[in-house]
Amino acid sequence: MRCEKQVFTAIELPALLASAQAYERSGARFVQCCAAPGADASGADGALELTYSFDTGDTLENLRITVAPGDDVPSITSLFPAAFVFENEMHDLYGISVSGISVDFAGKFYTVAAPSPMTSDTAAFEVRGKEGSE
Amino acid sequence: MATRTIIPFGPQHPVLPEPVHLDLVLEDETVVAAIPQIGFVHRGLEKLVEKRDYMQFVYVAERICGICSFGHSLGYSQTVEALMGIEVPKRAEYLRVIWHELSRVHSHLLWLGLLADAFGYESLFMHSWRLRERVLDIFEETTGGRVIFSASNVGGVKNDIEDSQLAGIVAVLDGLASEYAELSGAFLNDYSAASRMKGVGVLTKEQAHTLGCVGPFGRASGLGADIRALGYGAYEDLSSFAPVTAAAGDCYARCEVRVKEVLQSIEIIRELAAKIPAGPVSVPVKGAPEAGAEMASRLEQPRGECFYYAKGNGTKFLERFRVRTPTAINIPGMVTALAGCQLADVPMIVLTIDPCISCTER
Repeated sequence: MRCEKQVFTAIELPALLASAQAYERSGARFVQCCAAPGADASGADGALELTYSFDTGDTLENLRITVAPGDDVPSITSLFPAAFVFENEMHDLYGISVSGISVDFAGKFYTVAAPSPMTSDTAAFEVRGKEGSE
Repeated sequence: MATRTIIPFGPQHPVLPEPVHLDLVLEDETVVAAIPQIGFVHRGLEKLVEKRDYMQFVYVAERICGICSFGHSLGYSQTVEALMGIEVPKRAEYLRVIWHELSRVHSHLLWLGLLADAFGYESLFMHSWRLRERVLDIFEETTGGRVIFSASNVGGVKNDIEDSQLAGIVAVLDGLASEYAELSGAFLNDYSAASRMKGVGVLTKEQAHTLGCVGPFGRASGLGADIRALGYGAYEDLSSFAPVTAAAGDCYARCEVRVKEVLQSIEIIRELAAKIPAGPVSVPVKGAPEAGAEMASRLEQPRGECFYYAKGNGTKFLERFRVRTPTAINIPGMVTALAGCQLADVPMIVLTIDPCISCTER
């Protein structure tokens, strides 16, 4: 199939807000942000890749940031209010600390059975409601 | 300042088939703020990509939602195909778009029925769903399923539609379109329907852009964003395509956009059925996505732009699969549209973004 024109640009964490602001000023539309296991695919070091996607009209531009456990990621909701949904999601599913979210659910956005479930081995999960059922 | 009251709306509410919660902050009968909460039924389907190989996962992707099921299988398939450099036969691309546009017709008819039910027009609800039933019959005839089709997979589609069968589908849609013309008049011209929707839940074009609104919700505020205009798949072979838009940004405009998009989808199916090329409908797929390879793609679902992301790790299991559904990005816009409305209008406004919590709770 014909691929959509897209670019992935790696930036450092401190440059996130300035880069997002440049997109905001250029009139780009915020598409999404998400987390994924980092460059070390085994996830042994716990690094995570964050991808922020913006629609510039003819290209899907993606900012790529690698964060380590414990890193504090600034929220971009002051520039793109819609990001609050996805920043809360990154916190609840991946355990990423995001500071300054305009609507911060403080870990209560998703009801999950285990902390940071997307970074864990699912075989280790306990199934809620099964205790003592057998 | 008037006394403020907080009223919980949902997660169980007659207008909501699925759970979403809003804390409505009221001054008298006026909503001054709405705080959303989702996550009641989050399923973690993206995590399953570690346990199902990339060919099997298409069936999981399809189950993200019961209404846009085909769209999700298509979005997943085209993302993995782009990741692996697979060229899909032209006939398969046409068939995919035909099924996808049929999905849009049935989704919008379903929504129109729910809208009519919400403003108390029971017969209009029944007629909308009566017409929708014909589209479901087409699905059953061509795929064997009415909700889950398993028609699209990585490399193409599983079954062909004979040209004679395509002609039959177009004939059914011609009949549907003539009855739909009468039905749509009730939505757009009826005084009672207009009085419930005009000027209610207004979202300006600037607000819609800032909040990243997509689909009919954004287009009703004047945004021209429609991923189909990028010309993915068989859309690039259409003689012309222009997104349906409106300017008012209210509930009526959202209804108007969806009403017109049904006819636009039927027109697209007519055109593609007339010029679908002969040939195979799938190609054999071997190998696995390379380690570190990644791809993002977008699709115009009935509710708007849906974003897919896949990352390979050199095995048959993807490292990461991500779906950003249209409802997830439309929630901030919905909350903004609610501010300033009357309490009695809240169900109508919530409904007009066509929320799909099943998609959002993937």
